[in-house]
Amino acid sequence: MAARRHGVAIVGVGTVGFGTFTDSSSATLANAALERALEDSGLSRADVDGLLIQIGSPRGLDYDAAARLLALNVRFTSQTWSHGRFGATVMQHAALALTEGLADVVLCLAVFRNSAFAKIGTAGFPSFGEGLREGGGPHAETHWAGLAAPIGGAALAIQRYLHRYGIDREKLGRVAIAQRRAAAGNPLAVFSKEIDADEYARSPYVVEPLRVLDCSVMVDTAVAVILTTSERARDLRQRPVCLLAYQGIRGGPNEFVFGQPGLGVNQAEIFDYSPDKHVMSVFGKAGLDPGEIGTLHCYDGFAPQVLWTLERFGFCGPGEAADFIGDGRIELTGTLPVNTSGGHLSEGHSNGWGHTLEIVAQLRGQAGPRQIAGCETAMWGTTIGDAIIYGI
Amino acid sequence: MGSDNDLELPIRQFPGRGNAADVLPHFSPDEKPFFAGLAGARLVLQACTNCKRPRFPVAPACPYCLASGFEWSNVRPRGVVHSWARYHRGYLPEFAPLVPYVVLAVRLLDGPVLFGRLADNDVEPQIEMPVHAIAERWADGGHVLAFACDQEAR
Repeated sequence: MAARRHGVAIVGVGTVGFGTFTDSSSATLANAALERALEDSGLSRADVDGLLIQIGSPRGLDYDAAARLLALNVRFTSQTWSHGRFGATVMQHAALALTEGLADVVLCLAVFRNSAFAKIGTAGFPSFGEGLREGGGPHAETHWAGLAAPIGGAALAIQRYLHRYGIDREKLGRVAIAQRRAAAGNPLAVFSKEIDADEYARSPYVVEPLRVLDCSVMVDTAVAVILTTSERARDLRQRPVCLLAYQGIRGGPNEFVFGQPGLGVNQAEIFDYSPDKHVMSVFGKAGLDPGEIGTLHCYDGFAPQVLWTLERFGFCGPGEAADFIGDGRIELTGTLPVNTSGGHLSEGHSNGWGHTLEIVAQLRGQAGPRQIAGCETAMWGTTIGDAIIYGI
Repeated sequence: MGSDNDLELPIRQFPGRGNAADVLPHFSPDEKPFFAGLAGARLVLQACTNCKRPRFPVAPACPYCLASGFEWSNVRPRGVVHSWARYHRGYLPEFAPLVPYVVLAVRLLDGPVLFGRLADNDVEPQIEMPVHAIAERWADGGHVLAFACDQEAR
């Protein structure tokens, strides 16, 4: 008899918020987030038997230290590369482990203290070593060309994109403006003062064409997310937030974290992107069309990633995203609210974990002034094709 | 792919500071022929022995036909600006004196897209603008790829 497949749900979330926590250790921050997630779920620390870590040392804790210092006795644990892009992958590994019975209650933990390190833009920033990695940096860092820091690859990609589709550069500001408006209702957001197009246009260039307001704000944080099977979730404190469908990050010579396949920046081939059946399959598995997604949350280290994510998953056609978002469509009262916590641009750069907290809040109906009426489905997606569709 | 004269890269002095050894990839012996080519005033890329297409970045497998074989060959050091970005911050000490400076993604006439700094500070970059590859000699004698505008004297 084939094993019965069962669903997986988020049953508890907790965070210390987003900001500067220089005087707290990663373990203390992680423990506080865990305590809140356990309280939220009604589970106890002894129930946790799976542990997945996104960001390890030196900015956060490696799995072994986390398990030891947080007094977690687990039978399934793993850890991903110290990059933001693996947030959804960590959740997917949790879901796979629960589905296969490798654990009954999995804690996904993201803790990192960026303030303990030099800022991006200074020579002491630790990930600068990545530019000298074999094969080049993960954001196209190429030091001998002067192409340094993640923003350089993003700037080259958006410049090409704007040219290819004949888009007015200032339309890019709609992303930052919309997300800041949403952040005004989020007490956890680092930046919550609204901005307008004039203020955006005065924002100085960092790496042209990207302005300061197109860039995320680096923070310290700890976020704990607890998942278990849908069966067990029924008996817990909160309404379960179910993972309806998910798919992994895509890789290859035509994949670059900034931009669609085919843009030709840090990619082998140049062609016009359109979504293929693989990238769209997450909708089929969830039994939903893109138009039925209640709210979309996407990785926004830089504002252009929002445009590319909308196009990657066919919410609009190639080159159309800047116009798609121009009429309030992605704001709280629009037909597709996007990054309603303010995202990395306004809430703080949480590697997508703030977005996950927001998805949970929206689906539980706990989002306060940001609550989207009747929100029953939500999606996480990125420019590199990974996605999770959630439902309540 | 052209006469010897067409293949030669102009060599200029790098106007920033520091040593090329500090900005070149530390861990990839695969890339040595590419940088040795620059020192010899040539743009040398891998060409697939199966589909014949030149490729970049340096890699053991062809991104187009997926075959493994390759040979190093000269490509024409000419192309057009595929994209550009202007750095208003000096993230790397070697380039800090050059701020603001422009980094190009250049689409070579022979296909691949390569990154390199725009060596002409007084030129406003334009997408599709023709450029040619140059080799810049750094203080330690290392040679690094950069690009210059075609309207400049070669």
